[in-house]
Amino acid sequence: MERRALIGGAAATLATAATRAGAAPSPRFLPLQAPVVTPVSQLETVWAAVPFRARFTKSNGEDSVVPGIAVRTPRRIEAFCAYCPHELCVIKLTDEHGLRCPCHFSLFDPLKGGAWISGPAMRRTYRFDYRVKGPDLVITGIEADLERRLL
Amino acid sequence: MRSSPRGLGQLIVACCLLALGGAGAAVAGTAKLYIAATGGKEVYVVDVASNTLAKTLEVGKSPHGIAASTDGRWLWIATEGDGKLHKIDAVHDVETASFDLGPYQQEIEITNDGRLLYTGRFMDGCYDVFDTVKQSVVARIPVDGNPHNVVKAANDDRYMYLSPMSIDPDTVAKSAIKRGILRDCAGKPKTAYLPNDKIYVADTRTNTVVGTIPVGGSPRPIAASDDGKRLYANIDGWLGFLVIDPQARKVIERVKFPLVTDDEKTTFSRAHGIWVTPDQKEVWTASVNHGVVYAYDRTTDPVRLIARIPVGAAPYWISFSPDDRTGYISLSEGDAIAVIDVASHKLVKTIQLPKGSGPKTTQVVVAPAP
Repeated sequence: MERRALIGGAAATLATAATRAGAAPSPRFLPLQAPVVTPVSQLETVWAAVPFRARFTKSNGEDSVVPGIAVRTPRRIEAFCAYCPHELCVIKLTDEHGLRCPCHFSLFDPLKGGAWISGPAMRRTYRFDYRVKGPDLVITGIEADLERRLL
Repeated sequence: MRSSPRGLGQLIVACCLLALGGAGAAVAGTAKLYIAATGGKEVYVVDVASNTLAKTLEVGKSPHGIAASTDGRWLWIATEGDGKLHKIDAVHDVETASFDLGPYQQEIEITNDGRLLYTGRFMDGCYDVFDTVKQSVVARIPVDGNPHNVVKAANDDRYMYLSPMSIDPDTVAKSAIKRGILRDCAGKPKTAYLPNDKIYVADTRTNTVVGTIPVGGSPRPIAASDDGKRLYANIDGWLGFLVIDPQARKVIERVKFPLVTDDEKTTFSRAHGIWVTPDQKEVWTASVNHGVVYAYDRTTDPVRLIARIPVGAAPYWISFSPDDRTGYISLSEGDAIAVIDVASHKLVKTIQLPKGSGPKTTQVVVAPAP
């Protein structure tokens, strides 16, 4: 895949993808305490997945660590929040290239930015704000809507 | 339900003692752990004596609820994916009948005489009462939220305690209502959604709600002491459990898990899975994302933490062998069952199940000898 196609930051690329898929526009993000940096070299193989943890400060002043998965899909590199929107169990990338919750089996599509496919979650995965900068995937924010679930 | 048949276990032990004393001709049965593999179509059967996988039953898509008749002869399994209720001969582990009850069947519970079976329909705001003799639904109990769990006290089945959970209201508003996914008892699409924050008390004589117990959040798994004097409940938004006096219909204690590591302090988890040991001395419950099971002494007031048992990712449901020696914790994420020695509170074995099986609800049944 061309480097250009890999540069799939949340804002521009997802907005385009969202328009194509009829999905929701890019959400508001809360900043992470420090960017999470993952070398793109770890994501060279299609469907390579690298788990990560992102820390942010909740509005009550407490720290919260959010699990995520960086995935190289056939289209681009994506960073998904690993909390299932249903009950915040930790979703995994399956051998069949779906994002699946082990608790109630909600299924999400990594090819469509984590769009909901089936199960009780009934919404897409929460999103990270991220972009590819040079040799790294840099994650800087977490979807603000997640916070109310963690308070 | 996800329990060991505690009253039954005591009955069997009593029968064995009588037999040993030459006072009766009772025959002990075979204790088997049934595991609903929600990720597939199977129910796995583990031989409790050896803690080894003994048999696999294919029942239907996404088995969820398990209940057994008091004599251990019949097992009922609700399959969420195809909306069926399966009747299993627990002696021979073969299905003898199935009934179409509609989709999204969840947990189930049965009266001690084996006559009435209660099953929650997650998307329909309704608990169905299935008469196992008439083989039909004879009553429907409307509730707020999404019907999920139901328990009784082993020695007093006058009441069924219904604990519907709730979906995130924002998600409901944006998706479920628009899509017509949520329905009422009659099957009509709902135009509004009321989250639930209470446990319903349903009288099994009338199949009507005779009271509610406010719990301050979406109730999740609940357990009852054998004598019916205490309920224990997980609720969303509370990493711990509640101690409830069902006769007074009020929460009398709110227990929070101690968070030990930085990971536990900063990473979200939720409490799911709770049960009372057959000797009624302890209540065990689980922190899903933190991978820990907690054992509390329930003979003290307030309850007292006595063990913290790391079991790995996503502990979900809890059962016990009737002899009180073994606890079984389903690990939905790891496709396994953690086997815990109750006396030492130590993990002694992990029973691995096929990948993707997603074990959740479990129950130990002492089936009569063939």
